[in-house]
Amino acid sequence: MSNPAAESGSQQKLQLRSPGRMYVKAVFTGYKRGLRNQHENTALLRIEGVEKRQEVDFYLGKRCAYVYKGKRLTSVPGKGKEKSRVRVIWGRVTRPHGNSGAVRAKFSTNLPPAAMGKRVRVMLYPSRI
Amino acid sequence: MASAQDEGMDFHKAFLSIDTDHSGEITVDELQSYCRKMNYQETFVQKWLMLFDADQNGRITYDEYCNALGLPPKKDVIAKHKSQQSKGKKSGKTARAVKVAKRRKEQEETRVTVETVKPPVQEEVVQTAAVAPVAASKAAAAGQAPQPPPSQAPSRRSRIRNEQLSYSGVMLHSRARVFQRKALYRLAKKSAANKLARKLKGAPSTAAQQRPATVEKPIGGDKNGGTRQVASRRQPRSLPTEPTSKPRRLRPVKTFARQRRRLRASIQPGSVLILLAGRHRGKRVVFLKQLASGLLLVTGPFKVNGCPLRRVCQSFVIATRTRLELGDLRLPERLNDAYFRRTKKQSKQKASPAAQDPFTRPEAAYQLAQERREDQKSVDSQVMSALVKLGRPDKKLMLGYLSSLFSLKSGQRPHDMVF
Repeated sequence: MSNPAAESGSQQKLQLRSPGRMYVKAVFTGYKRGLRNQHENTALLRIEGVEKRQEVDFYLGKRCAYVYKGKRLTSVPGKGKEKSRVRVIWGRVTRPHGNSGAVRAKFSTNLPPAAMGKRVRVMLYPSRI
Repeated sequence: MASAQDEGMDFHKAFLSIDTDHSGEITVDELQSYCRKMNYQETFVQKWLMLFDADQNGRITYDEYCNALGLPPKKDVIAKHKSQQSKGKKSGKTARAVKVAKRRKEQEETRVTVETVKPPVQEEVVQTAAVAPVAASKAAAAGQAPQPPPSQAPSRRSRIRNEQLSYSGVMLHSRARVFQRKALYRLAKKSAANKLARKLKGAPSTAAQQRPATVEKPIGGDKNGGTRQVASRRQPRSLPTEPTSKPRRLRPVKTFARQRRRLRASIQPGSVLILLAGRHRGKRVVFLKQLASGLLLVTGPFKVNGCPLRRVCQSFVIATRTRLELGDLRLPERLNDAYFRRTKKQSKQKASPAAQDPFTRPEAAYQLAQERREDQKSVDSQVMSALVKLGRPDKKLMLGYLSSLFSLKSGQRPHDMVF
């Protein structure tokens, strides 16, 4: 999150800080499952602050990201030279799950089981408001 | 005798349609909502109260109504009406099905009145129907009712609406039925007739058809003749032995250019938008207009938050309720999609060995074109003047708002927030 090039030579007062959190915090609680079988292609997320099924409507379709670090440096998309250890698995919130505000999400690749209990970021886009 | 009954029924129907909560009385609220629905003037409400409300308590009871019109009150009608009040609450109809049925009923009613109108009396009705139902009762001989005057009734084509039946995806009227009821066969004939007329006129429709049939070409070699005639349109090399019938596309392919651009109702010129992604994420910017590609043209203004004139996708933006009155915004004409399109870097240079001169400068950083500066200035000055119009305290507030960044704080829930 780079500082925007807001400071032209004459305007020193435009010291804009980079924005804070632009995503909603969520936790990957597990895969979609019956008691004895699980289906890893669909992940269950519990979004912070969402307690009812009616509240989930805002988050449907929103993109979500599981951010993690690897050991090897990988290239950063959009910046050819830059390399970083940060990696992302992108997905989307698909539908509500149950009555208490949990949500199902599908990711481009299945979330690794190590991600259970870890943070998933639910972005505010694609926005419908 | 029968006609008198019918006229009476129309007035009764009118009362019932205004009395939406089926209480047996018309209140001021019901009159106002009816007035708004039928697009009458505001005086409609006062006139009605003046004419009908005998005891001036703000409610027109059914008896007052009938007395004013000189109609015998229909006890059975009003009893049925009142029973609807309790029935309506218990019925399991979905709100949408009720609306559909209601709208269809209204359409039937307007159709009835349109057909019973007699042309010479139409003029009076236009002026007085909403205002003086008493006069209408005089004209009741012509079988008119205090329904919307005929000239205000929606055109036949727009009245016949095709609705979806309660989210099932099934439409009320089939395509063929709509075609017939809306008389679309007339339009279809017209377009076919136009095509035929154009063809007969002989106007060449394409450049290919404008070419002459043969072209004179010179022949080389001294011993040959001078020129020869060559057909300008070549015959196909081979013709199919069997007729091939390609299944005709019933509807044309919707390429990107042909797609309909939508804009959320919450995004209006002057709206403040929150950018959700990209290098300017979190910034609050001012929306200017939607470009032909569907992308939104926004500006910081640049001096306020460092966001220049920029294209932004609707999905990556939250529209706040805050709006600037931009008034007559005059944007430079060159601001279109091509203006903002990314210029392709000369990627081929890398491959060709001739260009791999070790002493060549590396690809130059982005140079800001002069026209960008000018356009930014001209647009931003208009936005700033709109801010100035707000007045001192509001302007300061707005400037502070636009230069601040949006982010989610602890405990904030976007689904609960009003932007």
